[in-house]
Amino acid sequence: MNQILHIFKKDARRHWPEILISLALLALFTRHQLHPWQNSNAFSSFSPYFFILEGRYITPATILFWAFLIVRVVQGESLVGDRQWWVTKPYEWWNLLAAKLLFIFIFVSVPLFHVHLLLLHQLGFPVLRNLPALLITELGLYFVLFMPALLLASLTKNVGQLLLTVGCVLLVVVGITWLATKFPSSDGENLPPIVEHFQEFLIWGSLGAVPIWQFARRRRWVSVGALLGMLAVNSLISVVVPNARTMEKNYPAVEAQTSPARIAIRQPAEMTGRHNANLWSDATPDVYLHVPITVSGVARGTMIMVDVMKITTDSPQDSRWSHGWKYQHVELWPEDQLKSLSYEVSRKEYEKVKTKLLNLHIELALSEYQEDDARILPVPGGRFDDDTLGICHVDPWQSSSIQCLKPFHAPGLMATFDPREFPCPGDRLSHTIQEDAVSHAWVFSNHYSFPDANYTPISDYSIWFRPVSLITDLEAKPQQRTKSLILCPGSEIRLSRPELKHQLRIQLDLPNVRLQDLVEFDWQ
Amino acid sequence: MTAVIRTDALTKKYRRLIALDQVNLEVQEGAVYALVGQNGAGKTTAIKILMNLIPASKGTAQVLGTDSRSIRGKSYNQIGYVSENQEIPEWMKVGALLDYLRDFYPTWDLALEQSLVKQFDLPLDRRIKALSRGMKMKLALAGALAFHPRIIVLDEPFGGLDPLVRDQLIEGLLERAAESTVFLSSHDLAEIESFASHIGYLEAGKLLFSEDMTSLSTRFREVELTRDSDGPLPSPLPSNWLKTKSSGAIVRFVDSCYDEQKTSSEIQRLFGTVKDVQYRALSLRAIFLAMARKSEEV
Repeated sequence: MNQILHIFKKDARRHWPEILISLALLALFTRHQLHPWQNSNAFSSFSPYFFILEGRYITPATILFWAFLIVRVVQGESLVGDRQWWVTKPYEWWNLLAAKLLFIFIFVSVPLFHVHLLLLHQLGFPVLRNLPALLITELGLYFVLFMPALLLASLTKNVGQLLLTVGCVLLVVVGITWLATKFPSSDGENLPPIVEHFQEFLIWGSLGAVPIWQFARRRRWVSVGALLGMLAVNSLISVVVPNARTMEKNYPAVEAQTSPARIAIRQPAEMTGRHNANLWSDATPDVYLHVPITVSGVARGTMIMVDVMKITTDSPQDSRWSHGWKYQHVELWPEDQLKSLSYEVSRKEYEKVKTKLLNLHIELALSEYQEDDARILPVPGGRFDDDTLGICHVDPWQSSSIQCLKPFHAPGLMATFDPREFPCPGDRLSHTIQEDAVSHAWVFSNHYSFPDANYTPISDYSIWFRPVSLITDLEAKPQQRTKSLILCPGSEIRLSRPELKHQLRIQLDLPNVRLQDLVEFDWQ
Repeated sequence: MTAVIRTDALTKKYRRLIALDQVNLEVQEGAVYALVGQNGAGKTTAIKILMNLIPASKGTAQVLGTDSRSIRGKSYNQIGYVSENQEIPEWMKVGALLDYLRDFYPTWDLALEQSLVKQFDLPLDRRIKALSRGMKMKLALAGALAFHPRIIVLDEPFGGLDPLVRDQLIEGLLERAAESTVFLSSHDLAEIESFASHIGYLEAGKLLFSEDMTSLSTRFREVELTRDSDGPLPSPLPSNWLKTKSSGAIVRFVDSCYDEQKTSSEIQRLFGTVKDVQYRALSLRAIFLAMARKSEEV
């Protein structure tokens, strides 16, 4: 223990300027976090000479400076090379490691923890009730933010080497990402859970073990070899192990007629909207196909989410191809009539077949959510507290949105607002909505999992009522009148917790279509 | 006497380069052992392996009875190591560095530290960054001596130092030599000759010999003989005769296995009766020049 404190005191004496800078940045960060809604509109208070003080720069600057501080402290007793003075002194490696961790704890974690406590308290959230989640967050931060810095510092001799290593890591990441594009991939398709757990174990195990090994033995190339080996094994597993057919298992196939939403695909020829060949996007490596769908039959109090989509094509002349499942996250509410889904294909593939008549088989994976614990919330004027929502107010810059703060996670929400019942004074900045339509908002939350390793315990989220008139069937009612979508004090919104009822998969066919017709149709 | 350092077939390879080749070395307790050789002979590599700064490719090394691969942490409580290449924390002040070191060693002797500071004229309030090279070496040596180490390992401690600083270092070292074993590498032969008790000679990674200074200086003699008449040198000459040259009737060589009787009989066998023979002791420098030239000839 004496040796730990001895090394710690030396480090504190040496790095006091960096410590002071990190604390100053943390103070700015705290100030920024204490006024979240002011700072979210930082563009309005643009300060050309002190741009670093703008909210959006403070958090990354603080995190980067912490990483720099950790690197400097660890490299104070460099673990690389054979000329270090300290190596031939009676340092016990575990004491050295403990001293460095103590430094990070005292000068990074403890101040940050106090800031987190202060934020919870000052923003009006109970501190004690949130303490366990806060401690988990701190632990997560240690792994996600500080461990990589510790790892890099343990493998490099100085900041120059560190920057070079970061450059190399980025190159490897770019290389792997590029390689990954050469293999077919599917959103939502995962490896078997046991394989994924093994991969996570490999990643986190090596991230944790390599710095310890470096402190104990100082064998940089063995450590680098271990990391590269882990990367190679993980990549190999991802390529070799077949996926668990997650989509097929999680979303059982049903007939389209039995789906909780009646969804049909419209032939592009039927559409009379504007056509617009987008010359700008011709140079991009990927092409987005826009698949128009008609929607009906969504029950009241229900929302159907199109989670993912897969397109398979065939034609008498060409072989079948599919680019796998692609995320959509498109909401289908009871009032919706027409929506557009988007599907990414490589330009190379697209150019080969774009003018040919193809048969498209479109699979949609849907999740059905139903309202639970529904209640009416009259929107108060100014700031208000709500047990479920947290601390909220109507966004003064976008009055179709309610901004809220909640510890750790936004709650999962379905919200409905009918502007016909609660007309508010017009605002030219606001979005418009069809005169006879209601608007919905959806907030997704994964609040069943652990708190994230976040730099703030306060989750800032918005309940945004979308301007649905833009995505309903304009051509069917060309004379449709619109009105502003504005929330004001006294407006009532219907709030509920979304309960996942079913997940299912339907298949729809679109025969004799040219892909170029799906690209050129412009919904806006 | 017990061996404080022992190596057994110690080998270090850097890809194709053999930096150390099957080195067998033994340093007895209480010795002042100087490992000498030209630049690139493998002296620093040997010391780095002994200090567990780099791993050996083959063979083993023991320091104070511990396998060198296990030397870390508390093992350094008994080892004082100073190298010209060490990266001392230059941001510290001299006094702060000594204060910092003090707490690491249970045997740290504050009185000795103060006496070394005085002896070496160390400015306690000055930053190490601002010290001259000689001052830095003196500081490193003070830090390596003040805890009464059982063994002091010095890697090229005198390189590039002025004679005054060198004398101060040697003086400081010799004062401690009574209680410690000293193992140092150097190519400053003149300085070593004055205080080394044992010497090892490394040439291209090979240890050509390792013996005590007395036997070394007894073993080497420059021989000058005058023949009755001039003529070609007989062949073959004994392999222990180095740098053999003749000029008229005079023949000169360095005998690396000198023994008065043996050398005399060899001379008689090869040259018959000679007019005059003179034997002269050699300086360490002359011995190593002869050795180096021999290896160049080979």
